[in-house]
Amino acid sequence: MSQFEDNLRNALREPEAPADLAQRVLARASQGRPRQSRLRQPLRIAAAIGVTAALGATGFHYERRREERIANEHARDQVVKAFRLAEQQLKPFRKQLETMQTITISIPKGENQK
Amino acid sequence: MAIPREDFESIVHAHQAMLYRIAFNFFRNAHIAEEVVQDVLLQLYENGAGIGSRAHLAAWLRRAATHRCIDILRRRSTQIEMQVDEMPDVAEETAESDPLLYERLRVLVASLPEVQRLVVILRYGEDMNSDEIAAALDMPSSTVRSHLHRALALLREKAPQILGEGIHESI
Repeated sequence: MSQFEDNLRNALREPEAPADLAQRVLARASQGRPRQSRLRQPLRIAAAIGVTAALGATGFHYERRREERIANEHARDQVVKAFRLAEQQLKPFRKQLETMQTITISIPKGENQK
Repeated sequence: MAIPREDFESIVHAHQAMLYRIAFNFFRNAHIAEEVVQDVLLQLYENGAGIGSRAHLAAWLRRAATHRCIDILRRRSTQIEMQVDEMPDVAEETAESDPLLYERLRVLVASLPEVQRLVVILRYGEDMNSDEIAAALDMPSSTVRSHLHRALALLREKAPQILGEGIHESI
């Protein structure tokens, strides 16, 4: 480090803050915070209400969608169950029908020629 | 989030001198320097609860002070364009009188362009290395070193006219 830089260092470290600067900063801080808090309080309350309302609305909407989805799934299950029951009920009739068709087809040829 | 009052008081007492030095060396104006100190410390008081360690706090304060200095300078256009012939006339006694020498050196530093001035103030006034200065000024370390190099060259060039021939030999 050169003598010039040493002198520069000493020169730039010399200025001293006024003796009462700290007191003035603290006094200004005492005045500043309550005023700002008062100004910010309504904004904070409004923001909190807004966030709560948004969350409530989102929750309500989500719950309704969930109920609708459950109802739709239930209805679909009922329809599927109804189709299966109907299919089971119709099974014997279908078998009978198939048998009747078989009988019809197996009529002997000679009788038809008569 | 705000800092508790007791913590804030100890921070003010511990750091006000450093903040004042940076701002005063930058502006050479006690009123503006005080304004910078107040603004930075009040900003800390209102929003600085999240700042962690002491080292982080000091770095945050230096950074806030340098940015505030640049803001004020640009807003008010009060750049100190100190001319050589406006400097205090201390023709014969500069070499022997340290207070006068230091005063002239501060004037000399104040005549530097704003970024070079801040780099010199932080390097020599606050003993910060180029990485710390880079973090405070949001620029790469290589740019800081380049600013410092140019600033010292400029100071050495101007110094003989301002400090007198006696000082010239010691530069």
